[in-house]
This record gives sequence, C-alpha cells and structure tokens, in this order.
Amino acid sequence: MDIVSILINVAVSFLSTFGYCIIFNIPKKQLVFCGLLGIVSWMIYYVMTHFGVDEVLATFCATSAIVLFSRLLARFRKCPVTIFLIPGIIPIVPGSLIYYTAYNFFTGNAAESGSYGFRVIKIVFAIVFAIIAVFAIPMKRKKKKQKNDQ
Amino acid sequence: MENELSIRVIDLASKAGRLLLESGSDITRVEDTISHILDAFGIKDYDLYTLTNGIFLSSLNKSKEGKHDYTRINTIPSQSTNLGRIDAINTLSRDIAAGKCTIDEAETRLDKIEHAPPMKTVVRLLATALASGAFCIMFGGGFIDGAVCAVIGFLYYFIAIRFERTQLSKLLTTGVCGIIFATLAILSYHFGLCQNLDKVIIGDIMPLIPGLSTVNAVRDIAAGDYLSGAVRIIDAVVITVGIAVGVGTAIIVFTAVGII
Repeated sequence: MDIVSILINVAVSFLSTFGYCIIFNIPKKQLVFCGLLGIVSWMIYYVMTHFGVDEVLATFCATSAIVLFSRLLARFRKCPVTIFLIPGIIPIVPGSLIYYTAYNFFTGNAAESGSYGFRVIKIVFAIVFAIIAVFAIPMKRKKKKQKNDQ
Repeated sequence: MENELSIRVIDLASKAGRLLLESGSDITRVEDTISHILDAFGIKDYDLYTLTNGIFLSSLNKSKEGKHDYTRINTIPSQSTNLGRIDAINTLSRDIAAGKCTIDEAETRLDKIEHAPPMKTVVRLLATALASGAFCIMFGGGFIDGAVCAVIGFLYYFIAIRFERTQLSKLLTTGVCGIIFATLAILSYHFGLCQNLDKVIIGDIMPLIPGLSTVNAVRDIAAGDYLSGAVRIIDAVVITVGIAVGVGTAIIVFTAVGII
C-alpha cells in the first residue's frame, strides 16, 4: 500500500460517491459532505481488507462508521439522515461480487457462483446489522423538540 | 375548528406524504411528517396507516355544525429516487411544526416542491459517467478502463432515462440496460479498447444497484413496518436479478459467438 494508490483510492471514492449523489438529486449544499462520507466508508474498508481483516467485519465497521457520521451530519446540517446514508454506503455495496456471482452462474461454474453468492449474502447481512445496531444507539434530541413532544 | 380548514390541512398532510413516498422515503418519515403537520394545525382525532404504495388518512372533526368525517386515500403506483425533494419537504415540515408557516404559505411551498423542474438530462448523464468511471477504477480497473466505462455509462443511462418514463416492469427495463452495457463493454474489450472486461462491467453495474431500496427495507423492518420492508426487499431483489439476467444474457450470447 503506497501513497499513490491511497491517493488514487481517496480521489476515486470521492468522485464516484459525488456522481452517484447527483444522479439521485441530492441538494447541492450537501454534495461535498456526501463525497467525504464515501471516502470514509471506502478507506475504512480498503485499509482493513488490505491488512487481512475479513471482508464481512470490514464491511460491518465501515457501515457502522457511516451510519454514525450520517446521524451526526443529519443533526448538524438539519437534513434527513437518508441523504447521507445512501451515498456513504454505496462504495461498500458488493457490486463486484454480484457481477462475479452472475458471471459464474451464466458460464456454468455452479460452485464458484455459489461461493460468490454466499459472500454477497454475508456482506449484505453485515450492512443490515450495522445499520440496525447503530440506529438503536439513542441520541439526545434537541430541547425545543422535547417541549413539542410533551 | 372550522370544517373547511380541517379538510385543507388533511389534504396538505396527505399530499406531503404522497410526495415523500414517491421520492423514496421510508415509512417512519412519512408518518412523522404527516402527524407533525396535523398536530401543528391542531387536528387531534385522526388515524393514519402507511404502506410503501399507499397512505390512508382519516379524521373526525367536531365543530358547531356537527361531526364531520373526512378520509383521504393516496395510491403511489410508481416510485423514483429524488432525495432533494425529501430534504425540501423535511424543511417545510420543520417550519410548519415550529409554527413559522400558515396554511396558505405551506400549500404554496408544497406546490412549488411538487412542480420543481427535474434535473437536466445532460447533468444526470455526466454524473453517471463520472460515477461509473470512478467505480471502475475503485474496484481495480486501470485508467483506460475507467474512461471506457464512463463512456459506456453515459450511453446506456440515456436509454435508462427513457425507460423511466414508461410503465414497463422494472425487471425488464434493468435487464435491457444490463444487456446494453454488457454488450458495449464486451465489444470494446474485443476491439482492444480496455484490458479488464469484468471491471468495466462492474463500474457500469454500480449506479443501478438498488441502494435506496435496501436501506429503506432495513429501516422499515427495524421500525416494525414488516409489510413495507418486505415490499422493498422484493424491489431490491427484482432489480438485482434484472441486472444479473441482462449481463448474463450478453455474456452467453457472446460466448456462443466466440468473442469472449
């Protein structure tokens, strides 16, 4: 892992998330923050898998960080949390594994296809549990809102 | 409370909910928004039931003229992703809940949000090209692969946008998109424009991945809206299968021809 490949990965994860956000019409004010979240999630995943950590655990950690940052950003930027959550998660969605599953399925390598499919399912479960777990952490609501609730 | 006013408030709230669901919001946000608006304008006696493709809202208003029932049912046949609209409605609902907005202002602002001009097609195409190219390099492709991937992304998304306006099945439209970009990728690989066929195809798959449906499914199920969550899961699976079948068809055909 040299400095050039790190810089390329940072740049590319920012650009891909940025482009993805424009497709889904995310407000211009939030675009840069979404790009930064893309960098965070991809770099956590990239560094962890580079040092030999299991990809499922790496996905879990990256997703947890993203959900946490999304909730904080949603609080400070006064936006729905979805706006930050979707772009942040996109880089670690197992798009490549889905392709290899389909490729091996259609070229007749049943065993290969099955093993890739199994990895997809494990990673999706890691994402799901990270989202549920971090959303369950209570965060203090603003005082104004509490008054309204009462 | 005057009956006419209560009808206007209910219409406003259910319209806000419909726009949220159309733009790809989760159920909890829709229900929160509707009840915030109703609470802010003083409607207390109401029942609300929300599904992924429908909102049922009924209220009982007691005034001097007697009791009045009023019910609105909204059907949401098709959904697209427009996170900017969700943000705008969120801001509006915050303002209403804080009492900064009268009913007239709220109606005008909601109309404005509904009729906001859609994004320019060129911008979306360039964004797709940028995203696909960057994803391709991110997953291990070279810079030339990224460039080829970006051009293919630009071309096939043009067709994907055309499909959005039709009422065809999602399985079919994503499948056709998959066939188109896989064919373009295989041909450019065959003529030596790119080195890694798999990375180019992966880069073009990424913008189609049903990220929003998956996240919404998880959040709906975590919030206890199992029915809506199940609908979202089916949506995500259908789109993924559509992409896989499309790409797979192109691979089978070109393997049979002998190009790859």
